[in-house]
Amino acid sequence: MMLIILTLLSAFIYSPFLPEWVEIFTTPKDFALSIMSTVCALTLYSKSQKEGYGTFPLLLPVCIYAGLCLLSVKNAVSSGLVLRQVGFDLMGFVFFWTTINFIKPHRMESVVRVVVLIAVVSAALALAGKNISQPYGGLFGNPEYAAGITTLAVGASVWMWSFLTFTLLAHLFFAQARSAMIGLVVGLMVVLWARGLIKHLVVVVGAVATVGILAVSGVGSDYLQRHHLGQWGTGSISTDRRHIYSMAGAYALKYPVFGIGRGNFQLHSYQFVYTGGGAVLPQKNYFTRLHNDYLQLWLEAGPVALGVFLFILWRLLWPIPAGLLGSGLFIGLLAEAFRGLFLFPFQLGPDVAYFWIMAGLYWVVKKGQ
Amino acid sequence: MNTFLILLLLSQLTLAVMNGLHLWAEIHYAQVRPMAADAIYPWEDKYLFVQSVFDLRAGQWAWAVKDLKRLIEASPYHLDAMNNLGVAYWMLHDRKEAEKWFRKALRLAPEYRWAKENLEILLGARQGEMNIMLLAK
Repeated sequence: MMLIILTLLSAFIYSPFLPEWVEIFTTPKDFALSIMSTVCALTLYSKSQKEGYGTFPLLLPVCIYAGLCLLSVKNAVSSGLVLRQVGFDLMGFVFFWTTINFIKPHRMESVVRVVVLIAVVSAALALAGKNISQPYGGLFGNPEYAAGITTLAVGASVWMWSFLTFTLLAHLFFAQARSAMIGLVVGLMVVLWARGLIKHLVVVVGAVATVGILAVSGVGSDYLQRHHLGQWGTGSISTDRRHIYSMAGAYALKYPVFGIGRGNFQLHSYQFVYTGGGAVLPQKNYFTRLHNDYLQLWLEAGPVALGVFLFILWRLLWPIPAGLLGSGLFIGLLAEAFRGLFLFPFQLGPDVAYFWIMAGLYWVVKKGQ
Repeated sequence: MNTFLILLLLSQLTLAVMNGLHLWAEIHYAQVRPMAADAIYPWEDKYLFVQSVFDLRAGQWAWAVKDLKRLIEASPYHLDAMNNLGVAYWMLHDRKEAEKWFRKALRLAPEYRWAKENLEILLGARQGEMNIMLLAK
């Protein structure tokens, strides 16, 4: 259990002693997490030598996925970046398998409580202006936050639960963590539908409608204008995303089998940013990632690799186990996976660590039933 | 299964070494602000770009040309590199090559402001110093 807790804490590394222009939100955390993943891999190996091979669910699809990503080196400009990205992708699975092999079902609730505590402390610090986790909406879109809220809320009285749901949605809306907000809602609705909790489902729909009305009325009009209605090149990130998505789709057709090389999009991103009128884009460096992990995976490693990854996610998430803990974890995992449609959580070390550790807990809960 | 676990361990060790180099490189090059905020690997395009900017700032135009040409070979859409290559050739008094690289950048992106301005300076339509692109913070 200490290994998992240390891994989560290493995602919080904040290094004020580093020069301010070093990418403190990513680089030291990625380094710390890769050290932890090496220790986890070593622990898995030594455990296998002493006690026999443990449990490695989804091993075959993961190996196929890694193999396809490595094959993408065929078209890659930088094979070093392919190697790094494949290692990074496998890091998540290392945390997944470590969690499954070292967290016993009876310790599950303790682990979740510790994780939720870390999440609450980090969220409180973020609200106080000391964001020590990572800059992309803080922890609002991360699974453990959703798990904490929904585990507490689902099963409580309808009014209490409605209040918490609305508060969470409004909080995320004004924090501009839009994809996280939508992902949580989608996750909540799937669980409610799966459980037959129609009354709760109606409340969620009502909460979403309320937030939607706020967004299109005077309360949210500036927000909409800034983030959805701007033209290409004016800093409207949502509109700019549509342009690069469509360019990426067309670009992917030129590399139909193996893609442009896993991890190599950043070397091609100049073309995306500078053509089509994007040269005036004030945030051109913002698009060194495609802002859609699935589309980027398709572009970098081909459609088969994307299909295998989606298969892994589907096998991981479905079916939803019974009980509050399983529901909460499912909602959080789905929210994070949904966030991958508009951001790049599967390319951020802390998000990858959180996601796959939570996925490991979720798997243990599922198999424990 | 043993082979798989060993390969998994090696992949994570490789990742840790790469990330360590990455962190070291960012700290090491942080003195050349504001460039070091981006990822820098010895084998990656931005390393060559940073090196070339060092060369340009130190007046080592020929070395800058060498680094930038290698960079453009690896990263064919690197507009900032093309722009800077044009500037390096301009400083070496090779107008023809300078114009060629500015125009190449503009063919890829007609709105690319810096190459546009540099080309105007080269053609005498604008006064001022040439723009050298740095990695933005």
